[in-house]
Amino acid sequence: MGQIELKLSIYDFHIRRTNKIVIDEPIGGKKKKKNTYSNEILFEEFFNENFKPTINSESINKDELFSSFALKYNQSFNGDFKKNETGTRAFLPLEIKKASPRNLVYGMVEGGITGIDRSIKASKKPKATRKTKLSRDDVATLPFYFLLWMPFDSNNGILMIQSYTDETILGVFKQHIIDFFESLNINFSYKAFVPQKYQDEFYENSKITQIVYKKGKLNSSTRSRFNPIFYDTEDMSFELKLSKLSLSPLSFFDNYKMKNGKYIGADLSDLEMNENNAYDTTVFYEDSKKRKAHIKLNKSVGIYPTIFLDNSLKIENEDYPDFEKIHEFCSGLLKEIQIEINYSPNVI
Amino acid sequence: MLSETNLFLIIKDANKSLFTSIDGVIEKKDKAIKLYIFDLLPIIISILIVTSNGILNESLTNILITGLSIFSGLFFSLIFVVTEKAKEIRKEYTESTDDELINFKIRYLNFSKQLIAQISYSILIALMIILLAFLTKIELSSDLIRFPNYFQNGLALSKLIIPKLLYFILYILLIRFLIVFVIILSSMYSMFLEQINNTKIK
Repeated sequence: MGQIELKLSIYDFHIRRTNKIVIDEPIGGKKKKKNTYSNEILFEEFFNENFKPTINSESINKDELFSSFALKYNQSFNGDFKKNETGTRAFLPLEIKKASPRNLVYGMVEGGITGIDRSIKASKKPKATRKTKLSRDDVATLPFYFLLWMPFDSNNGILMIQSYTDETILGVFKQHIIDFFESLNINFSYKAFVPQKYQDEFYENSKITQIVYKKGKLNSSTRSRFNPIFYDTEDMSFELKLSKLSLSPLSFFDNYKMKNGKYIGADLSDLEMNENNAYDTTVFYEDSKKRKAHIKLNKSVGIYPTIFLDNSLKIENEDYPDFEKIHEFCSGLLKEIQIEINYSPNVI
Repeated sequence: MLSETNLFLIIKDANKSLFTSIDGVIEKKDKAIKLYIFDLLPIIISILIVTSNGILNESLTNILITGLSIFSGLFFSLIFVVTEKAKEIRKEYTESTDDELINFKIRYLNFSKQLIAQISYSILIALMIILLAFLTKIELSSDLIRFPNYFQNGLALSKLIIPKLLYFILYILLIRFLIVFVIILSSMYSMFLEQINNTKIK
């Protein structure tokens, strides 16, 4: 239908117990609470400690534990939309399901932008149509799919959240789940994860179209040398943009590092960009369907290309995800990830 | 029948099992350990023993043959124990839908396959050692046939080299047998403990 694409973000997360200890401040003798993290715990322990239907339940029923988790997670919203810290995005569960044999909690949430008054107008002949208002307390929602995998015999889980081309609830969703685990004295730490097949696909089917080198926080003498007018602009950053490129990612990453070990051969010492780790590099790419995305080559170099979902996962003639189809797709993808992260064994 | 023997498959699978985890993942670290401990160490020790004229006397050879024959017999029966246990696990977890139980079943069956490959390999090595031990005791003689002179010289040289070569191979196999024996022992220990505690194989 439209140009809207579905995207999928995957996170690999670990849980650890949070111990709140009270320590004395060295000066002034004030008491201060500090979080310390003990060893990672298995999800089995996490569930047994927090989601037993009754405190004295002797027999542990995994299905009940997952139901209890889904219920408590739902209750954590109190029926209201959860907003992010800046109050600009919010979300609320629509439907939460569980598949305890596969250690899954999944479902649909609805969420989107909020926090500002908006007028809704028709894109064509807006003056002729009736004006509608969206107040700052309203939330302009879209449905989003999510999947949470919490294997009983591991401390390593997977979180998947679907987004749209320009619409996402990633930030507020992740913040809420961190807070939810934190309320159970569990630290939830995550990092982005892209299955190997998407990384390979990125290398094969995309072209690098733009590279931006960014240097933040230049010192005063550097700023002054560039132009004395910038002497007092402390937060000034500098970007060097290489555009209209058409490079194969494979050859780019193979030859990115030059023989002398540097990424940029030109002398940029005047901009404090002479060392590789002195600046951030963002690589913009475009795939065969002209879809754009970018990755940041941070100090721990990781390739995290955007995962675009096939249009067949959408509801017919709409841009929303079809719940059954997207769940089937994500469950299948999870099986591949389970092997990739060495959770599921390969048959010898 | 002869063309269908799986001796090379036994050797290949047993070697692979030494650096493959029960998750079916080839471990680089174990591959390096296998190269040094299983491939190179026996060769080095064997060279040292052979060059310092270390040979097995009659009684040691007899002890070796008797010992290996007993272990080979035991190992044969062990294959059936491991296979039976694997069948039980397969049956017990057929209906399982839980990820962790399915994974446990796959891991256990992988473990059993590796153990069977290692046991078969150790039986094969034991047979080869017994054969080599016999060969080292065969006296080469040129009295029966009159060979030409140049052949006589070659025979004299081979009388010197062949026993050394046989001992060299014998010691390599013997050390490998001991290494595989220790691995099997530790795997069996895990398996029996698993049966008692009903915990997962590490």
